[in-house]
Amino acid sequence: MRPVDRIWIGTSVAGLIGGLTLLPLTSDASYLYPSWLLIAVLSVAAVVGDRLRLAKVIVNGIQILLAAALAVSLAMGPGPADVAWYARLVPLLRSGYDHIQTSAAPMPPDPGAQIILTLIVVLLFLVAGILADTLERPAWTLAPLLALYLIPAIALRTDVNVVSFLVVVIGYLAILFADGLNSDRRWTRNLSHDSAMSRGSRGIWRLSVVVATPTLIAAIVLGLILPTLSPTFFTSLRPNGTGPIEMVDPQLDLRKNLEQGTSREVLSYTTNKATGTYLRLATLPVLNAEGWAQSQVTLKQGGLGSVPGLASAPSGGSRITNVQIDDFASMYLPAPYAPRAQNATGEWSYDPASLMIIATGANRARATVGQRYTVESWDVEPNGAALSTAKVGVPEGQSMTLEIPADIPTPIVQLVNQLTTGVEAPALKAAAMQAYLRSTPFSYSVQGASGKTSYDAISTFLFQTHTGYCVQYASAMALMARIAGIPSRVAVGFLPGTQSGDRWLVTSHDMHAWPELYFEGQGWVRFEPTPAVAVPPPWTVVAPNQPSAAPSTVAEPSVSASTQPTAQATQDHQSPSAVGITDAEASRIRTEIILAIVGAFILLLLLTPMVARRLLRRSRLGPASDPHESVARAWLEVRDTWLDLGHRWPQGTPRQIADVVGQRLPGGVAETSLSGVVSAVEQSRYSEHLEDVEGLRRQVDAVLSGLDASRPWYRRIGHIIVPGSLTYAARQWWRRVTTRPAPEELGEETTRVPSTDDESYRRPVGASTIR
Amino acid sequence: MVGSVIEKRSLGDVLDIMGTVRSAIEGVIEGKRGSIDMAMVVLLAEGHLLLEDVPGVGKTMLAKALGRSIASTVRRIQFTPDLLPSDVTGVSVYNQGTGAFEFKPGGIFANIVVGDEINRASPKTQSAMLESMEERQVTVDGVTHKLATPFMVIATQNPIEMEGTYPLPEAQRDRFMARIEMGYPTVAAEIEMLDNHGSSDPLAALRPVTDADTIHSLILAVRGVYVAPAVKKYLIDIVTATRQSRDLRLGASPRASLQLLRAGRAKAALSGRDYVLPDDIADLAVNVLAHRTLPSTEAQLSRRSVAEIITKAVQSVPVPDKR
Repeated sequence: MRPVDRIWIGTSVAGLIGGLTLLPLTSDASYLYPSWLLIAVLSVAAVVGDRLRLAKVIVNGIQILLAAALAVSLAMGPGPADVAWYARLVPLLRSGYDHIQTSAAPMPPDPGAQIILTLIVVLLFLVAGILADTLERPAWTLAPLLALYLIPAIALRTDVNVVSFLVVVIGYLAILFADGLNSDRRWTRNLSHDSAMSRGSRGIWRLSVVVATPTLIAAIVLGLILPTLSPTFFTSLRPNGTGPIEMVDPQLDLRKNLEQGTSREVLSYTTNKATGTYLRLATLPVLNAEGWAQSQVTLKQGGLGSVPGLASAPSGGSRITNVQIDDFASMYLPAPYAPRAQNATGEWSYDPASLMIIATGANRARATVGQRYTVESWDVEPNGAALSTAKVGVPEGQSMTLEIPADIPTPIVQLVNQLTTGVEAPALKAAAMQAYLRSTPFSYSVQGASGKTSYDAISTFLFQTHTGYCVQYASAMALMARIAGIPSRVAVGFLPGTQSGDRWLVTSHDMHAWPELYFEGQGWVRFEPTPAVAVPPPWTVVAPNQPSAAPSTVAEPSVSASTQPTAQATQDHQSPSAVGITDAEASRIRTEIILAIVGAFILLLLLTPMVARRLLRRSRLGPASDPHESVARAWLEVRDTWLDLGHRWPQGTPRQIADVVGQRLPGGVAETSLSGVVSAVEQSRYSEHLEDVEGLRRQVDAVLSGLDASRPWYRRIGHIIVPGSLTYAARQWWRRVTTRPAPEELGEETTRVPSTDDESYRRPVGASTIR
Repeated sequence: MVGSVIEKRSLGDVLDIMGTVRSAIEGVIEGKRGSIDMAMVVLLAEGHLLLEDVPGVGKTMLAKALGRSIASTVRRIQFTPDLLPSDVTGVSVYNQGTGAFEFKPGGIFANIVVGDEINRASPKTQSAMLESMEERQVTVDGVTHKLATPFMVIATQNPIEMEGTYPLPEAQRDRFMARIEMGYPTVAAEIEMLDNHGSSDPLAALRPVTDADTIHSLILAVRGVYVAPAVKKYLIDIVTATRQSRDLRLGASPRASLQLLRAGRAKAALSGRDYVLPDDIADLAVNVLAHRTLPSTEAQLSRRSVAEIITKAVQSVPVPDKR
């Protein structure tokens, strides 16, 4: 068994069991079989390549090709047969990628995801193999194995079980054990049988067990004792590792769209219910003197979870909405509240507290463009009677929606107190506020309003102008609800739009803001204080003779909501589809340029040693001031060329070295040119006079070209990229730096006089030389 | 003895003349080029040669052939236990005719002296012989007699028969520049030997190709071979390595350094070079140093030969790669 065999057996063991660490991620273990098959095939390829005396780099290249071939053949299975494999592979991988991004662990079976998992296992196995075999650094294989371990650890964001850890450790030990056996064989190669037996594989086994067992126990025990990192530690790393996502303030889009002169269709949808639905983009839960703002959220991936405040489906029941977005760019996915599931393509995460669905992929600002997706949602349409008795609740994870800033202007507080005097139920207080805002002094206008939601702007709106648009109404009501002790937030999104056949059309002027209030047992409930745009939801209107509204039918939201007062476009807003390079394209081009620069830099880095070597040869063979110098340089060049071929430079005199080097040269070159060079070196070093060195250059050239031709280029490609002479020089330098100067020679060591009482001293010399 | 003016010769002559000597000897002894070259190195380096091997491998033949190929005086002394020092050095005899003591030169008065089975003579005789080897003169009854130039002793020693022998002490062995072991010939060389020597004595057919004066002039030329300081340092490093080796109880002496240097010069000249290479020193190290050193008990027990130990010491010394 060769050393290569042992290394690849060890690496295969690590790869075969290492693939098991990904099992918690998926409910479909079928990715294991192709990866096992490929690991076996690649290991055999490495072993066979070694038998054929191929360069390691070539073997690795073949392995990579084999891995690619497997990915292709896996892609042959699913998909229509009449499409070429490359046309099938990319969509398959893409859908697999999307599948992985959108589903929670353990994810359901998907052919694309299966290929991706297979490739991850195989690639990390290959990296481990290259580290252990080609680069001869078995200890470094910890990195790919750890990567295999970290994938589920990061993706699950929970503790990965001990078995995964053990699997990685056992694989790592297998590689180290194989390397240990190799070192052992190397050192005991020439020893007789019984002396090798005392060490040998049994010794390595024992050492492995003695070292590994306590280490493993210590690692597991310490892991249980020490405080571990919280899974949320990874939160900021989650979206493609690009750091925290900066969430765009949706109010900016809102104002921009409403102020635009022409109304443009942004999306359309069909739904399984007779009524249209509000499509929510985002919520603003934080209130301060500057107005309403986003909070920091912890995003989650995978399927949407539970609806805050609602244990079971509400009376409104379930709604299926098929949304089609054409040219509307946002990082928030428009969805009816409360979304339960969605299938938009790309990377989407959600905030469990607000159920905002937020794009996390690259180019996320345009994530909604061209989307076709279906949202399944619950319609939160509370029963008026139940709502009127509901108590104020505390929404989980949204305590900021209860905070009442101390610096709220007193007039607003007084207004709220005045409106709610004698009203006990929170919902009725809210209804009173909504009724106040929809009453006479207030009028809808996009023009006169600032669009700001600061205390000053709201005070101006409430007490002076009484003119504003949805943002003012929504933020004023939410603020007032806060004062009354009801958790509130401002939602931004779209009105239901206009019905046309079975399709609902939503335009840019349908963009809207509304308050959401939280009640115990009811969850977040939508209110509609903006007059002239939409009719109030039935549960928010108090019947004249009743304390609370008890509508038997759900009122249809008004389709005349988008009646637009004389709003003019106040700024020249360029639509995203305008001519010229858009932001997205520019960023794509920028990425490509950066990639090209990085690629060129890596290429340059790879080529640097080779170029340095060429320059060194040229300068060495160039003219020298002193003939001795030129001889010395020529000899150095012969040495370095020899080292570049991957040979060891022999020890000894120039002649002895030439005997070894000459074996690799054609006979004529060895006899004439090489011996000429050697003779010049000897004369230069050991003679009084140096003969003419005119012919030296020619002889050196003949030797060097003979050496270069002695090995085909593909056998020494590694040494072309990383010349052996440079690594040799580096090693020599390192040895010089690290070795201490030799201790001074001691006098008594040099003249050892044998003592006369030594028995062998008195023995006749003849006797001692004969055996 | 040599009164004539010595002609000055160049190193090119060394190559030519010794080439003819070598081919003359090779006509007598087949397939022993290494031993022949070593003998010529010792001759040109003004040293003495110790041939140590089993009987019948051509020790005496080599010595005789070297002597015959040079037109010079060759004497052979067969060492036996009853050999007296005066047999070697010579003796003053009363001449009744002249009425005075007259010096009768012993066997050592010759250019090339073949001392056969030197370890059979008594220590007294051995030391008389070895003293004159070193001094290159003989003092009898207060009169000093100079020995011939060139003067070379080729002593043979049989390591097998130990009965009734007096092994040379270290100090005596130190006087020999080099020791060589002839070894058995190859099959081809032995067949050739059977063909050639079966009918006639090849030694009888050997004619001198040069003379003692020429050899003397070549010796003077060899003294001018250049030794670079780096090579001298390399030589000293090797000798020092033998002194520091744990496997050797006794390392090489400063006299060994000197003789190694001389031998190196002769070897370089025989290769047609006027400068000494580290290769020359390394190649000669075993022949020049091995018989002067003693292995330690541990080395003997682990059956490592002195030649192996010295080869290891040579390999441990880095070759000088600077001027």
